[in-house]
Amino acid sequence: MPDQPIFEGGCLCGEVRYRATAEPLRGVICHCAMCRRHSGAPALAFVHFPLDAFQWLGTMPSWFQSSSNAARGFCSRCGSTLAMREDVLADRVQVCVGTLDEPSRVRIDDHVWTRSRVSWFDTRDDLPRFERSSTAVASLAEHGQ
Amino acid sequence: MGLSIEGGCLCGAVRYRATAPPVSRSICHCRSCRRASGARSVAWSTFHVNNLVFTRGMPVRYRSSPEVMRTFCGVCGTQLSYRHDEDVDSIDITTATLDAPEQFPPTKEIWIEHKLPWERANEAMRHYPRTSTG
Repeated sequence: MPDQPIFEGGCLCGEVRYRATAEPLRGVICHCAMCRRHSGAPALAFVHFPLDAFQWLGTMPSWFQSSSNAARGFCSRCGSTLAMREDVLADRVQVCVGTLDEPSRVRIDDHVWTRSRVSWFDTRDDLPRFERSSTAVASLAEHGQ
Repeated sequence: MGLSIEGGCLCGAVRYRATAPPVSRSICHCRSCRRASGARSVAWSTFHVNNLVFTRGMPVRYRSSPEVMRTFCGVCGTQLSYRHDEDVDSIDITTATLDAPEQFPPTKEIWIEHKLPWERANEAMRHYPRTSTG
């Protein structure tokens, strides 16, 4: 039997930790204005873990309802930007790649919401780019602004 | 007269205003900035501390290392600022929380030592293994 993959991560202060026991379903770099503002970074990278293979350890993140169908998780002690939940992707947790203990282990599949990209920030890779949400995901209403 | 550069968090509970342009602009690849933002790297605009005021709400403070104070919005979690005790004149603001981030392109990348292998540095910028002043 193959070894079960384990991905762990958490916030800067260590108050919130998490563990996933499956490979990510998907990796994406989002350039939308809400992800940018929330993280304070030019673009935010996520990996999606199946909900049934993901658990928060210790303190739970705080959730900010950023739109009618999406919430963003952060550590209430250090403010680290941790995750996002969307009604249209209820089967998964979207974890911010920068909070993984080993972010270089995960794969990014594409860029989304490039129409909102800040003009001076371009990662210059060969990944597919989508002006809005990716065709890999049917509907991402969160970013519909 | 009356230069005003404004910004704030995602939910709007914390707003700030600068009355002079940033003195420097950078992208930081350090592990702490990555962990705090959740992103691969963070763009910072450095202002003279006397030229930056919080105009609505006050951010929550978190001391991320003995000499570093970071702040964020306690309501929505947006990362807002960074100060180093040894640089008393400066406050770094996350460029992405400025209302017009496109007007403040970074000119250098710092802490390249910590950069993720799959993020390419921008060849048009100056690069520093660690800080640009140390």
